[in-house]
Amino acid sequence: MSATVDQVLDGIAECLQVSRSTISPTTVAADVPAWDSMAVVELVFMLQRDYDLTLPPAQATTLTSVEAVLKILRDAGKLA
Amino acid sequence: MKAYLHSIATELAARVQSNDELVAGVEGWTADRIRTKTGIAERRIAAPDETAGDLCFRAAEKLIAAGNIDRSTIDALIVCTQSPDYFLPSTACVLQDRLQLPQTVAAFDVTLGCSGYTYGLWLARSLILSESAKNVLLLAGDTYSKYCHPKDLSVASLFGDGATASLITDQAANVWAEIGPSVLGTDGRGAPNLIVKAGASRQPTSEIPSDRYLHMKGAEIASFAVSTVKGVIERLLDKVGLKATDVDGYLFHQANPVFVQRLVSAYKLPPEKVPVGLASIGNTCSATIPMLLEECAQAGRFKPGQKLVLVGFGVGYSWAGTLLEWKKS
Repeated sequence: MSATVDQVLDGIAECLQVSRSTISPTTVAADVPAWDSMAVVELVFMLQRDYDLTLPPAQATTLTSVEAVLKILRDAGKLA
Repeated sequence: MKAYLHSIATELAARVQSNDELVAGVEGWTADRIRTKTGIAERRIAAPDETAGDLCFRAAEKLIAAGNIDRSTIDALIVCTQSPDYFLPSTACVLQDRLQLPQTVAAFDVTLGCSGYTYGLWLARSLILSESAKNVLLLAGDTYSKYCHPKDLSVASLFGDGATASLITDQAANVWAEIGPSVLGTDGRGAPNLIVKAGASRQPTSEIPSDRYLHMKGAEIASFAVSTVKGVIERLLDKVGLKATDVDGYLFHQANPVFVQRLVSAYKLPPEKVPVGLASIGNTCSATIPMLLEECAQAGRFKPGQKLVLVGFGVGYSWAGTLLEWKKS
């Protein structure tokens, strides 16, 4: 499926279990205490579940900002 | 010639460690956070002087007693553990004596973790199909809690200590399941992502205290699992000529309940076909799949003729998938 930026931000907020208002396209992990290694695991699962996108293990470590998630989706042609 | 899973027995370390006890004095963690993020409510912890070999021994004695198994008929002993009693000799050699198995037994260790049980089934079946053995005692057990730094809850919250004993036989009478083919794999590039660096030959000692403990890169491990397990299932089904709709149950390595649920959701598998367990035990590495299988067997979850796909995956990276056809009514 192809997603809008808003939908991706909704998904990220859900993975981090934080309020949607906390997450913007410029948010980085350091801004959100909940964005820890367990949250990154949730993001990995979200990309597979919602976008059928399988990350190579080494790429999982790059999920440290909203822009990084958006770029992965953009590069995979999954972002509207 | 066919190979069968006769039965399984489970032995857990006696001490129960609650999430409350675990988080006491550790900043940034709460019991509720552990339960929510992992699904683990409590875990079993081995005593300081209790080894995986001890747990395997007790599991084997339980299995032998419950099945009235004649020890003299066992001709192979496989011990799957990453927590051996000694660097040498192998734990299997020690257990041959403790279990009073015949001196004609072939006994050896398999040093795999989360993929260990499915590797063990593959190996035991291969021994039987090649007529190298008739009855294989497969022991799987670990005490990873001893590798976890008590303040590193990213790992200490996950692992529990326990063991299982399984009898794999060429006799079809009163068995739980027929063991089918397996597919296996390895990607050693993942070795640094779940590792105890110091203590063995490569790095006998380390001035960095954390090197002596289990180190896990959770995101890489999750990504490895997500990118690998589906392919294992597809390869296995292709090998045995089955479709996904023919599968009645998927038994995954129980890394933790939430992890398994996320995997189910990511792959869009029917949740009712994927048992999830060990919430009060923790991740017992190679023993999670047989513990779950035993739990399902005792609950009468499966019916004769049902096809089950078992997938072990993790440290190494290493993985193996095995098909079972359930027989026990």
